[in-house]
Amino acid sequence: MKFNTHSPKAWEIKCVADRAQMEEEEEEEEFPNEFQCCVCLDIMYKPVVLACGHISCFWCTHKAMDFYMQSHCPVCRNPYNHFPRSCGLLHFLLLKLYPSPYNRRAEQVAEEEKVHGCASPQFEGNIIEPQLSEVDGAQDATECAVCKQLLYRPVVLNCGHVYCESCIQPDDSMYRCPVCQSSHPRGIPSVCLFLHHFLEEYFPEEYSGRKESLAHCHSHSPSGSSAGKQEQSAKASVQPSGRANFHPGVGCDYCGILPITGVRYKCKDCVEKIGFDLCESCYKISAKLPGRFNQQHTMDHKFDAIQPNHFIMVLSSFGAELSAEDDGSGFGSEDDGP
Amino acid sequence: MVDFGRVKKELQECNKDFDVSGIKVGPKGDTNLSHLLGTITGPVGTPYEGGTFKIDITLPDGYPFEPPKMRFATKVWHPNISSQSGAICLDILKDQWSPALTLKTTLLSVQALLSAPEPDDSQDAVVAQQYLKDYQTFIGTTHYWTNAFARTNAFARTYCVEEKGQKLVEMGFSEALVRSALESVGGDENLALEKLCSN
Repeated sequence: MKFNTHSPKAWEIKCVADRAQMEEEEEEEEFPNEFQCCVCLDIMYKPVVLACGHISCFWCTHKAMDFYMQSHCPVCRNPYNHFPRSCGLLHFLLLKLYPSPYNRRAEQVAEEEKVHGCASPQFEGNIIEPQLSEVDGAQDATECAVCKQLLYRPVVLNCGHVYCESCIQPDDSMYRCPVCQSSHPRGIPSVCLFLHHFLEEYFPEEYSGRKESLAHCHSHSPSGSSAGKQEQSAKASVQPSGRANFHPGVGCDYCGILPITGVRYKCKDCVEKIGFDLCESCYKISAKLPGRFNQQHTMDHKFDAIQPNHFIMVLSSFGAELSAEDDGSGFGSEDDGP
Repeated sequence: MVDFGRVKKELQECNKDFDVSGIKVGPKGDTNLSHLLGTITGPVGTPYEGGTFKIDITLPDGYPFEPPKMRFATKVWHPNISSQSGAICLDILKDQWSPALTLKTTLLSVQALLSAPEPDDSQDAVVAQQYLKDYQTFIGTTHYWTNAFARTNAFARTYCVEEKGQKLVEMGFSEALVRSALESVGGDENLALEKLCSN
């Protein structure tokens, strides 16, 4: 009796709940194809922009990197050695435009991180200035920090900051981020076409205005040839990290180079499973930057200098695939003190 | 652990435009998504034309950061595919793999390999030798293998009917009767004989 009287109502409630859930799911899946990460085929989460201008999620990029040799862009196979920081601008852009799929991904990734005992960078801090969530219009955030105008032909540096292609000038043949001062390895990066098209679409008038004004300024200095030159110098500075003296699977938390060649400085006090490591040049500049994986590293932590271990290297060069499989977490996780 | 979320999306995406691409991927047998079966059609204008080739796909734990393992389940005569095991010699299935490639794009590459053999980097030395030294015979053999092993339904059935029917015809039944009997029982020789005898 009880069952009979109650079941229709319960069934109704369930139906409504199901429908709501279905609608929610349908809504969730709505994001355009260009916002899809080419690796996980889901919405890009904490996007990382490589020097070639191609984008994928933070973890997708990290997992796709080669722990033993030079890495290559999944899309165009452009070689690179440094794991860039996530791009804050893109992160907040995606969060603002597609909150429901983005938050779903955030929950998913948080779960996975909990299981694997690792973390990705957090954006709440003061690392990234343009926070779309705090401003009404997206335009304030899409402003170049150098020219204070709408970004035009945006390039994303290794530190994740975005500038106009024309606003980035080399300083002693080195490119340096005007905001965080971290150096950008290799030449000027390629224009991030994804952002370029996005800005073109969302701010058509301002964007074409920028185009015209820049065309006036640069009419006498064709940018094509200089870009070509920069590209050449960029190619020359790519150092194929040979099998000579590197630390398999260990990357530098400041500049992002993976694997570290030469002496590796391993933090003795960081408790995170992934560890905290620096390459020799970053150790020397003793900058104050956050780790790549949200480690709680502070300046009073002590370091161990570790020489590359030849025996491990010989082993790893044979069993490269094997060890890459069992250890997806990467940076500094291969604990191999001599 | 294989990223099954991605695999599901890939399957959906790939089977959406089957009519155009002629490429299909589905789980092999049960619902286990790490063993898949792909299907490609032989490229038009090649001796593989008209054939439908099945490809056995195994996804390693590291997929999509490691290449899928692919092997022809249909016998095929090609310099870069083992005529014995179906092993495929293709760079993107080895060191040139990129996680941005999908099962569909990989199968497209395999399809392209059928139309552009590389005899200098061969998987099957016998086939490669034939390709280089006696191209006409190679074309003939390839045609024969495609017809014999890669023809789908209707064609395959007639092929089977002819071979199996021969014995029954030798027993004294008329060819037309044998053919209809074989087709009605789905090509089983013994059932067809029973049916013929009961008539």
